[in-house]
Amino acid sequence: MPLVFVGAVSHGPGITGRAERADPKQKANLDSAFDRLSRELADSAPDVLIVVAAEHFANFFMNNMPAYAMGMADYYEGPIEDEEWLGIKRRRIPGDRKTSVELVSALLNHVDLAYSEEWKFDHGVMVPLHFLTPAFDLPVIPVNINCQGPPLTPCHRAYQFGQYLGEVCAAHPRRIAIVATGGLSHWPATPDSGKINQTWDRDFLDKWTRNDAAALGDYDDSEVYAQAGQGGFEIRTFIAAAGAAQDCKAEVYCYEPIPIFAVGCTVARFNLSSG
Amino acid sequence: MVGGYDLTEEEQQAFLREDIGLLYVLGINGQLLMHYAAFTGLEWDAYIKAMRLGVATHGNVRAGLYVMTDGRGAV
Repeated sequence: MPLVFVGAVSHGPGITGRAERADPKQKANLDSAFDRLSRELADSAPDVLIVVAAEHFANFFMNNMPAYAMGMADYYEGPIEDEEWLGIKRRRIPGDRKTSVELVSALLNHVDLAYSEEWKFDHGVMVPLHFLTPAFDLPVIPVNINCQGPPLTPCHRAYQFGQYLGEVCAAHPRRIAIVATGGLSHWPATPDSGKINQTWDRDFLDKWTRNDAAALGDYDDSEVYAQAGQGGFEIRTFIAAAGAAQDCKAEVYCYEPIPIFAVGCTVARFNLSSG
Repeated sequence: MVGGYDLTEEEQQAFLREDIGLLYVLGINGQLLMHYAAFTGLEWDAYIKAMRLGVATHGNVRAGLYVMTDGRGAV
């Protein structure tokens, strides 16, 4: 069964935690794009959803930081953060251990992937699920790419990882959807929170929607840090989604720079028949 | 409790005083610090303000990922 869906969204905790403080028009546009992607995800009838995230020290810390990891549990819990702070109630989210084991086994032919049978979802997974699968009933398999604690996996490797992930999903009997979540330029949780480099973001999205593997793989962390902040390191998740979509092109449904959400809020999807 | 950790005197005191601004300057990653700030009762705007005050008082970030951050902010 083919890979049935590849999308990408922002996950800033302010999107749910400080929702009422955004410009209403921008927030409505973002909500509308999330609704559209949620409907399209449901229409693709996935059996399982892989969320490629960039978690924030919730499960992986500096004492043991894999470059790539996949969840391999029957279920997960989240958010790990304070419910009121994030604006999302804590709950159990179904996993799919059997599929996880099969995917990890297949990926290990190509990538030295870590796995975890315990995983608490932070806002990086919970915010996207809140909008895309609001009943939290679709089995989820989390994937983490270390985007927080350098040294980080190079962007060209993130693209390759996505390619392998797409290949093993395409060869799997279940219908698998992938949603990548991360920021473009942002300086979250710092005094610069709210700064957004729209020019840099739009340039990245231009390369990303064209699925320009060479350009995406060429991003250098020093330059990303200078232009897009430490939050910009999370482009790895978007780049992995591009790799998973192989040669297909993407469409951006929404790009709204919302300072109180600390990021240019993006909702996008690859057209898997455009390759 | 803090004596059980490998902290300098300045780090210990910053933690005990819940000095978010100094903790930021000393290099604590904001992804952790923002939760500690909320735990101490600081709302979001107060958290951002505390970090800016920390930079104004103690100078730029000394260690960790944010050592290059300009510290000016936009909100």
